[in-house]
Amino acid sequence: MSDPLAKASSDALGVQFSDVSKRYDRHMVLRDINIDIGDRELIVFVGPSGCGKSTLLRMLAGLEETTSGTIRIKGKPVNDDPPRERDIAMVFQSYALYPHMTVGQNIAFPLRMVGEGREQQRAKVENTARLLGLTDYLDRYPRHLSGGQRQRVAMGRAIVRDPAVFLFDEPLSNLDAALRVQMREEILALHRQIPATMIYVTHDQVEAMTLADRIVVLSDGEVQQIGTPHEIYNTPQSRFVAEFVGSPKINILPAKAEARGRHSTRVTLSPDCVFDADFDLPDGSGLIDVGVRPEALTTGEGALRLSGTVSHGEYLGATKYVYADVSLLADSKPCRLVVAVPPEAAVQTGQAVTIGFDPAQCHFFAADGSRL
Amino acid sequence: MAKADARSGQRQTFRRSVHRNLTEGGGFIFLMLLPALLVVGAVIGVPMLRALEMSFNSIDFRRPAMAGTYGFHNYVRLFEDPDSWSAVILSAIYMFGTVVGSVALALSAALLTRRIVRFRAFWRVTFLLPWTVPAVVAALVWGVMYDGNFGIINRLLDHVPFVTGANWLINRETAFPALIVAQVWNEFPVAFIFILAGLHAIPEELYEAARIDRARAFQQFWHITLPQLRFILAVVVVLLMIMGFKSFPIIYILTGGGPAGATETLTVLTYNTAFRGLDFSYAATLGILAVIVSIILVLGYLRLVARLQDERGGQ
Repeated sequence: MSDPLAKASSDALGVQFSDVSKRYDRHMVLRDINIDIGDRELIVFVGPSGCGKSTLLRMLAGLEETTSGTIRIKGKPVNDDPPRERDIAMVFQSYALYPHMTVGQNIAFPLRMVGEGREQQRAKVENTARLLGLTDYLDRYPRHLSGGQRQRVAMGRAIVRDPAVFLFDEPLSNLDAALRVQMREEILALHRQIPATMIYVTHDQVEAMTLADRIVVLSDGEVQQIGTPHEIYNTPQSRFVAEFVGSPKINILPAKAEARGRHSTRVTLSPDCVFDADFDLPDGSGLIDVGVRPEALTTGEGALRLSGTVSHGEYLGATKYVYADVSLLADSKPCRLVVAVPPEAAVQTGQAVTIGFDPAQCHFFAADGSRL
Repeated sequence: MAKADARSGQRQTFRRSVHRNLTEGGGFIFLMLLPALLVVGAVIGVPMLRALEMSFNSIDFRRPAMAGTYGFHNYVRLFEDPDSWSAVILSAIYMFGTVVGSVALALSAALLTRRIVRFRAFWRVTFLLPWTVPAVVAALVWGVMYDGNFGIINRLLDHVPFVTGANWLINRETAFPALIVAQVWNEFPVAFIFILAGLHAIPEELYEAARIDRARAFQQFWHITLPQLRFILAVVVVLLMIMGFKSFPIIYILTGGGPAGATETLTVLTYNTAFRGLDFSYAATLGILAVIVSIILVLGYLRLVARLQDERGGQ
């Protein structure tokens, strides 16, 4: 992996959050957020609803006040600047198109507000419309457009200004699945064409994985992890991140752990499944969580094995998910695992099954959820 | 025999179709509206028809012998009478003045109270209070305030250098504007309620988008608030025009149409013609003119409301 973090710090910074916090009355919504976003980077804020990701975006836009900390755009602190002075454009979840203006007037609006010349406005609007395939719709009103077209107009209104930073607040959540995939591609294409920082907020981890140069995972007002989609998926820094990314969800198994020496810990999943893993256990011994993704499990073979009973299967065409109940330690409840198997694999409900896996593909989390 | 059967069959079919029409068809609607139509017809329709008849008659208590002479003479007189034309023009000015004043005041009040969080209900009730005051009471209070000698307006003006108060209701130049001010005070809450509701219906995101799109406060008002309010404002304007045109108590109580006809709007002229001049037929003719103007205004109102609903449905 080339390191995009290093890249971000060497290039000029697009946006920088330094110790940013947000409080509503007594309720802390965001706590000590530190994020450096590179110029021209497409970064995605992802997290469950209520995690503060939209608030963070709105603070950057200037629509919410910052309680403490500093937000910089292109190196310049903008905390006290109104939105109009921040050189940002935003696409809203509800599009927020001006209903009494035509598509053309909507796109021209940000130019009109700063008194750009009529000819210049026309040229820019036409260019933008061509880029988004809206040329035939310039004289229509938003109410005559489909959801996808409205979405494009909202993007057009942002693009036409040529801002330093684009903000997207869950822009695709009102579209149907097929259109969402298509718009995702278009946003990526735009990102390649337009040299600007893009910050994209979503609760959809698939959107985050497919779009992002880097992902910021937020939960409960705190940054959980910042990294490329590959890093987020393959080295989640907490149990939360591991569970949030990936579908179906990562399997989490309770295990006993006992330190055996430097970088070595003995992990006991069940009496028949004991192995050594190369991490340190600060407490010496205790209960930990072992995370293993469905595609890292197999039925039948594997370096290590667990035995269980098939509960049911899900056939998805290209793959098949088998849900199996395994009993682990004597004092823990039976655990349901998801195993990705080839679609032609025959599995019957109630059938006994052996699940194999490789300890190298396991993630280990301490009781507080942090990665070991 | 067969003929009789056929006839009774026909009668039954007829009865059934009448029954169905009265229980579920257009007849049912008519049946349900009938009581209201009867009441309206009795208290408005009949007097109006009588007035129409009277307007062609010559009922004038000062010339009782003329009664029973029918003709178009009242309508001819209407067109030739400078007083009637001046009354129509005064009505129009009054209408225009109260509409502009009320809309401006209501819009300002609504914009001010929209974003207020503390004591919001208090401010709203304050702005609605003038509406709860009966026009007669409002007129009397304003009459006292406008008084040249001991009215509070002149008392306050005494403290302003270089400004001398006027005898507001007696002076020809000031009487009409003074009436408009009193009327605006009394009726602007109607516009306030409409506009406040209209403001609340504008999605907050439009303002956020506009702020991001670099619109300043006035630009937001001009490009978002006003266009979004345009239909509400149109409805309010027509409604206030109807109210202003019909207005009677404030004018009648404060000036009675004086001084020397300077505030004699069509409604006041109609009243004065009937009950001071005792020329009932000519008053009826003036009344018919007022009804025609009112009908035009009401039709405009209905068309606007229909358009507003279309627009809402289309969005």
